[in-house]
Amino acid sequence: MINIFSQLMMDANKSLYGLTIEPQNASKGPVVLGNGDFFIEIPVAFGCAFSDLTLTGANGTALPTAAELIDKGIETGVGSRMCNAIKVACYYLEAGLIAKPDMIITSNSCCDSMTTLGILMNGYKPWADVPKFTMDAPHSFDEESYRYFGQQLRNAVTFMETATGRKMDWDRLREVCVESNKQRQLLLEFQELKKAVPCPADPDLARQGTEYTTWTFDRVTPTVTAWLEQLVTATEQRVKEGKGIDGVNEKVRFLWQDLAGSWASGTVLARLQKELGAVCIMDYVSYATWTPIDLTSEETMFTSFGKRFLLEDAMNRQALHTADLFCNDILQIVKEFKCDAVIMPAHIGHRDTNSRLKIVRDVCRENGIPCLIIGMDIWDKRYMTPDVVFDRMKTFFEVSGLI
Amino acid sequence: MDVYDIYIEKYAAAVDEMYAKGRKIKFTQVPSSISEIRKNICVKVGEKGNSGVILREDTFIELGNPEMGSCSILLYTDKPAMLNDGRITLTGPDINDSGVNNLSLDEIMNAGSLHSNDKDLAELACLSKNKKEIQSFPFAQIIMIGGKELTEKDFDSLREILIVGDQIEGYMVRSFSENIWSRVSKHAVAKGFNFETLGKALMILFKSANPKIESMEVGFVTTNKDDISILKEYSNQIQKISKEIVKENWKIKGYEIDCNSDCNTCDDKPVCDDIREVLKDKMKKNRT
Repeated sequence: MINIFSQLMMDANKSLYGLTIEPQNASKGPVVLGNGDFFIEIPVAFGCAFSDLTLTGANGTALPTAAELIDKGIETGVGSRMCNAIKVACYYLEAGLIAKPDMIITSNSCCDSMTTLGILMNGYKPWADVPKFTMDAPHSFDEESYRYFGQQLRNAVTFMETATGRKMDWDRLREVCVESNKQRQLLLEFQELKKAVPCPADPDLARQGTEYTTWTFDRVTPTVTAWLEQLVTATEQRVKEGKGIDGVNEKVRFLWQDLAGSWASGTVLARLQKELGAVCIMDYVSYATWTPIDLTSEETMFTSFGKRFLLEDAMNRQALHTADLFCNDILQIVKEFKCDAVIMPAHIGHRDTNSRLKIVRDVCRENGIPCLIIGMDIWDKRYMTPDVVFDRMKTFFEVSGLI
Repeated sequence: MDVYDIYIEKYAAAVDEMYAKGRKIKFTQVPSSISEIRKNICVKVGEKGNSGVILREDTFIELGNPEMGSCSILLYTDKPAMLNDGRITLTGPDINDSGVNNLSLDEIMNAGSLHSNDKDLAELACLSKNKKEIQSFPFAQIIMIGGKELTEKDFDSLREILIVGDQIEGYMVRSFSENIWSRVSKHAVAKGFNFETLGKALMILFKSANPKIESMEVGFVTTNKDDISILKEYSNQIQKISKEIVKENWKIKGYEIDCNSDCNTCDDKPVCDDIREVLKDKMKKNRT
């Protein structure tokens, strides 16, 4: 059935196609190439394209040729347990399929695979003459860290100015930040609405909204703001009417403490929702804690950027910091969003998360929260097929007495 | 358990300083026992106290929207006498003083218990035309707890009580990191919800959840961003202390959550070096 929500999903998905290799290669310059999250408001205000090779690789795993691309990635010689999104990115790079960028900005971001990709990009011989800048992300979250990383981002702006001979338009940056603040507020609003029981709209819209806002060609534009406003207004209406997701008889609410990857949403999670009434209320990308960018001065702006990058962006929050923050987020989400269970997909490429599995299990046990650890590959369904993941989760919900 | 004592004193000094600056300060004394507090509170408190999400259009006021300034502090001590049990201190305007521009005239008139005056009602008549922007107060919440038996080990459980969720009718804490950002519904305000109500509700939740609590004080600051930033500075220092407590508590459970060591000082470096050599050899063999 086509309703406002499916229409919104289609709009966002269309836009996500832009993250695949061909549209990325066709980006109009100057092009900054990165290996993970960059503070996207900066290139938008600077008037240049930002292409995230990690995302291009990740989107490769959603193509019909995914298996072939992953296998070619393995042939480039990277570790077999490395994240498959990165393997595809490595293949694209080593095979010379990525258009030469005007500059490269990398960082030691949240995962070892991304850092490896950054090293590969920086050492790629055909791009020896491309100007490069590496940011240093501290693994801590306090005011000093935000200021420190904010300064790294400020230095990145200077680097971009030197590399292109252009100057940052500070008024434009402010304008972009105002739009960004509006969008984050709306995403937070949608997040709050997911607390309603039954959940009023497919929670996956939060993930799609975040990706639409941050990663696509439409990022930080009024088009996305209008999309978000529509989403929130339609969802508020359903909360008022006490309605849940169309065609879903909600019985179980669970937290999926990882990325949904390229195949889980459309297969396992959709099937669980439809067949068992088990709704995935939250995942890594949709959990939002964004603080608005403080526009008081240039310094406060960049400190806000630093905070958002280090503590509030998807995956950086979960992967860059301590097990304590990770576990507290789980407890907070379970309590506030009334989740009945925690699913740890334990994606094979997320070694940071996998090192915490026992801790999470202990914490869940202490707090009486049913917890299932799977051990799958969110980019490669050959590792554990969607049917197997579905069956495991179904059995888990049954033995936990949730269905 | 005295690591936070200095900040309990600092908060008291900060309130004195704000008073000296001419800020409006209101002290309320409520009974010690949970049952006595419950007798005199206008909203439901406890599991599912709040029936659902507070929508934008049902919001009377937001507290601590980060653009306005926000701060949440939890302090505790094993010297219950340091605190004046049952005291709620409000520095700055109360919810009812926030103007009534988000409430319709009918809602005000029907509520009865709202302490509105003629000026408020006149203002309302002008402003109640569905103003879309939600009004927001800068907001600091300081919870101070005393109990002879409280130790560092109680930190996790006290921190968890702070996740209020849906336990206070007409009050919703938004999911947010570090600071506090909440909403008060028009319906709750119509029933008389104010900071005294919020303070009482928090006392009920904390005292019910942890029997070791012998005394509790709650402070709210709603004046301006500058006053909040003074408290925010304390909060940053307090967080450093709390992080150390958290680390120790994890250590007791057998986990080292914050690894400060580097490879050059690690006792296990020779083991890692050996593994690395074995892997190198293996890779070389694979290549040939």
